[in-house]
Amino acid sequence: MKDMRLSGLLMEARLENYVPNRIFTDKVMDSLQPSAIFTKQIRSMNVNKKETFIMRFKHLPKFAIVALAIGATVLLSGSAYAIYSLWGHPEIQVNPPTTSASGRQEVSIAFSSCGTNPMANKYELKRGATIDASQIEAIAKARCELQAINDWAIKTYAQGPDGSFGDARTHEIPGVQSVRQLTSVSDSSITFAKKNNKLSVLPEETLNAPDSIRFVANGTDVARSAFKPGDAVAYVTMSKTVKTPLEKCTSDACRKFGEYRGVSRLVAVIKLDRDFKDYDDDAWQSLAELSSCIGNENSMCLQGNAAATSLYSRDLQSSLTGTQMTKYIEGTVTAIENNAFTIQSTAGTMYTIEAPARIFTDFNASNSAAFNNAKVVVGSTVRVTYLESKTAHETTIPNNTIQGIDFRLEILAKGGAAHAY
Amino acid sequence: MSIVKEKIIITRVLDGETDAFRELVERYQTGLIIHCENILNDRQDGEDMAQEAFIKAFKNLKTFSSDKARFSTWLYRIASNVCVDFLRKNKRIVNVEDIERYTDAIDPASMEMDEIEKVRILVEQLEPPKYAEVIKAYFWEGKSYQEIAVTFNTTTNTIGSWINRAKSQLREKLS
Repeated sequence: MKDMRLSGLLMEARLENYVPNRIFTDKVMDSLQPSAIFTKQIRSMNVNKKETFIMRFKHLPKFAIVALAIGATVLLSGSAYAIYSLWGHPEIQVNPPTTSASGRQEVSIAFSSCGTNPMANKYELKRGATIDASQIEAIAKARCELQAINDWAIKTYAQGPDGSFGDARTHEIPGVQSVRQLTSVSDSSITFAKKNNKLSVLPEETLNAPDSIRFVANGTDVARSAFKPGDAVAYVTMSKTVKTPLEKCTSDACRKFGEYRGVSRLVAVIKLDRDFKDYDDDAWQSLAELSSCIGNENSMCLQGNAAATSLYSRDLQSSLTGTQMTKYIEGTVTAIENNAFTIQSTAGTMYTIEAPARIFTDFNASNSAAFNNAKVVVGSTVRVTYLESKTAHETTIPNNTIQGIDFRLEILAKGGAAHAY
Repeated sequence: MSIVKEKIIITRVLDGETDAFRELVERYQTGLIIHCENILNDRQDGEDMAQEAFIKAFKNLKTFSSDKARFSTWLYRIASNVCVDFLRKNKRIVNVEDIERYTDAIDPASMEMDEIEKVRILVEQLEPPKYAEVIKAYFWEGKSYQEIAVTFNTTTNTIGSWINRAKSQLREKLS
């Protein structure tokens, strides 16, 4: 029997900030609305009287009339916001930068309509970043747009496999390809330039673009003629997989398959809202994501686009009691004395960590060379993982509760050199 | 979502506020889809039947009695019945006992908060970290293997094996 209890626990463990599949919710809600309208909004009229145009709307609630009026105005005025029909208009709001606890520039960003993947709302500009704070808005908008497109592509093109169990099954999987610029567009093909937003140099690529290909701009279908050389585009391809059972199996329990991944075919080209440079992956990597530290929610811990190396770790899960939880705290090292050291969290709280050994000295002597000679010293950023009672908030973390200590590193670009954060 | 909040939502829906049902769909959709996917061994059929189950639950909400069962227990039963009907209509094997065991095992009403909290922490500690990412994508974001495979630029088989390995690690630490 499948381990459904563990699956159930995993589903229940979901944090509230994980947004469920809105498309699915909308589909269910759309199926419910008609019955609700018919039960609650029964129209009554004198059948002997001819219905006027205004009378057709009289039964509607006031908010619906206002919504209709706004909709009509938007349609007639041709506002850009009305264009987005395939996915929501990606929007963000960036607050002016402030200086973070680590002395970097920090920004709060509110994202909306960026697909279903939740995005952090606090970011720190890494030291030596190639972008400055004034560019953050453009880069974050570009990232939001790419996520919205990615979600749309999967929802639109993902489909189940053909064929039945026991037979060879063909499955086409959609994929949104990296951002590139157009070199040319003709009636039958489309050519992408060499460079992509991950700054990889690919061969110039020409793909067949028959009439069935969708061309999309501003979140809606447009004519091919709207696309010009130099436009930044994302494109969706379908990659074919053929699975053939490796063993004789006739039931749904058949699990072993040989697999063949075939060539891709182009299905949609999406003209992006912004300049090609705003989609640069390295620019996005210049922003370290921050989120509340688990168990110490007043302080912030580095989350995405951040690196670390382990200074110490051990498994204490077996000794975790029902009243305890694993907590995280991160901060700047303010003092080191023998095995112990103190850190100051972003909330300004000082924590004393009673480490089990002179882990900083050991790292600096033996492993630092592998990290561009980055050394753990006063001023370095360190994260501590430890066990503590759920209700306690001690600022001294004893040796026997420490599960791990990590040294935070800063890497500006993928594959780039590491420096102390 | 607390049981009290669930009761309030149900009352609002029964009072004619259809849109309040959205919160229940958001709360239970991932679980119901995975439950149906497991019974039917097919993601798309699983999504279709989960949708069917929500519609059925909405239409029959006035027959639900919170004194007799938790809403989740009632909803998962509806989903199981919808899936069994689908299997029968499509002339596929139906093992009712197995389905009943799945339904009992996956029902949130049977889970302790401490156990859930422990699983949440263990997910964060999965190694390599990509195991945590796929677990979150599948169980928390409700993505299909296919969608996750696209994100990781790999095959659905690989995603399946990562999820199985992640679950093995979790099982080991929970035992």
